[in-house]
Amino acid sequence: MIKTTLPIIEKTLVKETTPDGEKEQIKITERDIVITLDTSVYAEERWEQNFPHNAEKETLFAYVARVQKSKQDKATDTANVLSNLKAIYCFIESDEVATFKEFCRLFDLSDARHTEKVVNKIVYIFELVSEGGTASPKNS
Amino acid sequence: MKGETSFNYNKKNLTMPRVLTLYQKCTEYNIQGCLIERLHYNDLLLLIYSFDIENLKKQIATAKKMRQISKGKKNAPEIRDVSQADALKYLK
Repeated sequence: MIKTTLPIIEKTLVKETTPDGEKEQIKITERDIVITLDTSVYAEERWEQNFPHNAEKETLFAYVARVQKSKQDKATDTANVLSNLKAIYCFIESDEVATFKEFCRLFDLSDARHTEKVVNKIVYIFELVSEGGTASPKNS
Repeated sequence: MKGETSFNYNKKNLTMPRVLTLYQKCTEYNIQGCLIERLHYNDLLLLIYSFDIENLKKQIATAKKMRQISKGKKNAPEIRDVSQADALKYLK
């Protein structure tokens, strides 16, 4: 198990009193949540359970290796980031993140600055995950 | 259509998920639960592959032995019990 952090965005409605009266405003707060990465066979099980169409084509670890090789983990377009988030979701073992939809709600991919942070984290997590095993080329 | 059933007996539907095959192998090789939990997926695969290779080597060795035994049996003289009359026939 590897512990790391993930940058998330929280949007809450806040009531503000102005001279004109009360106003509701969206308050955006950025914070990091601590996540535990599970690189065991259970991650692969989550991949097969949650994303059977992806699992039909390749294993979770094969996906990570392919994405890293083609440098798609550094891509900032929403489709690629979402695909990579699918993989990250399978590695995470947390009670806070129940479903993939809930997990996606933690990020704001319309915000370029936040997306860049998330992408950097994806690259880092993929590196951690692929080099975590003793059988990885780095350890041989 | 005639002969069509509600359930699609497609070959794809009957294939076992990869994870289940892995768990089956873990049970076959007595890999403990705590080890499955702790090991990286790639390491677990490597462990299973090494067991598989060892198993295959053993099977090949036994097959070779069996073949040698059966070959040896063919070249060896056939020994059988004969009656007195047969023995006399042979000597004449």
